[in-house]
Amino acid sequence: MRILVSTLALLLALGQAAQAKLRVVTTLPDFAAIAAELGGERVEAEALIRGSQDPHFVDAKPSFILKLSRADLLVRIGLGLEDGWLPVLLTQARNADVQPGGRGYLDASQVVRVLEVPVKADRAMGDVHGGGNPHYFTSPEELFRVAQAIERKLLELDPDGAEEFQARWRAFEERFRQRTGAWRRRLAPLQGMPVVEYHRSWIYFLEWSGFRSAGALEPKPGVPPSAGHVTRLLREVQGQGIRQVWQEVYHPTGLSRVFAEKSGARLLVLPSMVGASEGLDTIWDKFDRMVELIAPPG
Amino acid sequence: MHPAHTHGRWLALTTCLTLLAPAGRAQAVSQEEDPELAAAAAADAAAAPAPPPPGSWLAPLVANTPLASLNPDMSLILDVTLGWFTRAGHLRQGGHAADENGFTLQGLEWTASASVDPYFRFDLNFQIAHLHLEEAYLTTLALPGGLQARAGYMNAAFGRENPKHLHTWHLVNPSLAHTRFMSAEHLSGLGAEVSWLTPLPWYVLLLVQALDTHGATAFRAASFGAVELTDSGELDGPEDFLYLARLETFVPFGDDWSLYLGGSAAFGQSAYAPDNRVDLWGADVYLKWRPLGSGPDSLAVALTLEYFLRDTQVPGDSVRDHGGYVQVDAQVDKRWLVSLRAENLDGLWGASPDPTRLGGWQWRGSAALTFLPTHFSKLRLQLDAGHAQELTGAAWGFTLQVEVSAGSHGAHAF
Repeated sequence: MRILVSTLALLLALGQAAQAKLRVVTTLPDFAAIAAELGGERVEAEALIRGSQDPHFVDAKPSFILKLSRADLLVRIGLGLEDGWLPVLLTQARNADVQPGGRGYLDASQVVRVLEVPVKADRAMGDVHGGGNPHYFTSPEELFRVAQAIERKLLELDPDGAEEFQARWRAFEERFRQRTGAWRRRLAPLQGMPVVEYHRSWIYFLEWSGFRSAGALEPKPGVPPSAGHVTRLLREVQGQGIRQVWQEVYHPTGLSRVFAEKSGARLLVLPSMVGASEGLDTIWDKFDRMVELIAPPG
Repeated sequence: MHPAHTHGRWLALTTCLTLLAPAGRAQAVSQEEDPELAAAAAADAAAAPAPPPPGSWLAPLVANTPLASLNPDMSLILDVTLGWFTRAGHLRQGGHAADENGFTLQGLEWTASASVDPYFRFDLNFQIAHLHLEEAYLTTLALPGGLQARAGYMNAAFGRENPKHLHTWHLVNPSLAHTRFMSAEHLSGLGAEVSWLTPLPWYVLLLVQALDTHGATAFRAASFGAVELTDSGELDGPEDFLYLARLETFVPFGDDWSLYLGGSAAFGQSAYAPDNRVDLWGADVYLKWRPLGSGPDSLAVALTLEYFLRDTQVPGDSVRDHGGYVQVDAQVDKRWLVSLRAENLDGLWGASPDPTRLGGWQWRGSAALTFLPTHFSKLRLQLDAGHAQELTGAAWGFTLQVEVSAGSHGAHAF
């Protein structure tokens, strides 16, 4: 009995010790990577979604309730992308700070420029999001806006760390300026390139990079590609000079590979999120890899 | 002039005046500012947090979504089946499920949920098809110390199956154990619940619940009797409530494996004799494998085990019976789900006055194939075979189910 009590006390003490840092829980791994970069040692950042996972379909694991119950800040994607799993976790989190409207709640979609906002949302159009396309995290520019909002929250929640947060922000801003310049220069020769997407996940990156979407393999968002639709799409894009087909790591590649072969394009399985594959630990790694795959050297 | 027109004009005038009144008040305050209030406001402003550091800050684009609405999130979920059975009524399909040939409207659920204010959330589930309330309760959002309370009409927090609504089932029928130990639909009632998320480093939740057993409050229970069955026929004291307790824990093994364990208990009034008691115990295990790091993440396999043990006082005796099920669900890709379930019920001791509901043996096996065109529709084909103590032979059943969900479908628990 004494051993049990001592063990419990030790575990609770360990839990308390870990609370010294600002606990940031994010749904998207990119947000956690940004928070870790901006917060340094003052922040403990953790993402609920894995980079290789479809963010639409995440299990509402009870362990996430625990993380949210102890979080100082929640950063979510918003626009309905997490509606199938996050609300039930938030309700059970017993943490007023991370509820909508709480001081530790940040819906990142509120600070980005949302594209494809439907005038009328109808499920006959597929799994559309009434607030607009939620895949803004494929654009460096939109992630920069989210980083600004995270910085504001860190300053608000931990004013004692202002000096460090501001220094880190200046480094982040400078790095962003340099890296985006390099990425744009690398992608510039491909300006205007038509791309076929698997899901409408890439429109933000396409807009940022100056490419254009020639269509999607999914006939409607969330509806898996059918042979009939893909055949029609193949006819439609003939003569447009399609050179690349883009998709996330979590979608099957069978049909898209055949489509790419028949249309004379390359199939690129791109990392839409940090952690989508080995070695992609920061947003810089993610976009470096994307640019490398889209515009390989030579 | 028609009286309705006169009323309409007065209504419009009143509405305009009402809407304009706050603006007028605000202007009046600013023109006649109290010096003391102004000084306090200035002091507050000076003490406010410093603005963010200079840089290329952007104002939040708060108006970029048309979803800014205070209406509850609502959805309608329809379940219809077409069934064929070798012996009508022999499979004991339970509430919501058909056990006779032909079409059955299993359910038309209307769900609504919304935050009430920063402190409470409200959830509603109304069964339109059978015109009864399934759940309507509030949940606290901001109690300290890991505590949370719910109050209202709700499903008992017992085991894995009882809290789940029809549209979250992976088979067309509830388990035999659920029907026998919980209720034909749900073990549910009007009451209150307090749960505590312990401060341990892993998820451990302790929960207690008390439900009113008045039949008039739509108390639904297969194992427990309504308070009307007591000698007085009224709720005389705390002993006439139904009490439940649950302890659950969740252990993730890496990203791919999850183990969810629960133990439940319920103590209440026997349905077989006035002022006799029933003790019900339950254990549930849910083991899931979903490889997140290896390609398309729609592949998942889950094993569910649920076991019940019940002691029921009957006139001059005590009956102990038990039962449970084992279920395997395999999500083979985004659109296809295969579910298998084997289940058994039996008596352990005591002479049962009603073997169909207490102590009699019964078994059933089920296999279901579900096709999901999208996340919002399902087509399911299920085969059942089963037998029960008081029946003359085994029965088979085939069921085709269609389920559609319209509206903002809410999140589901793990």
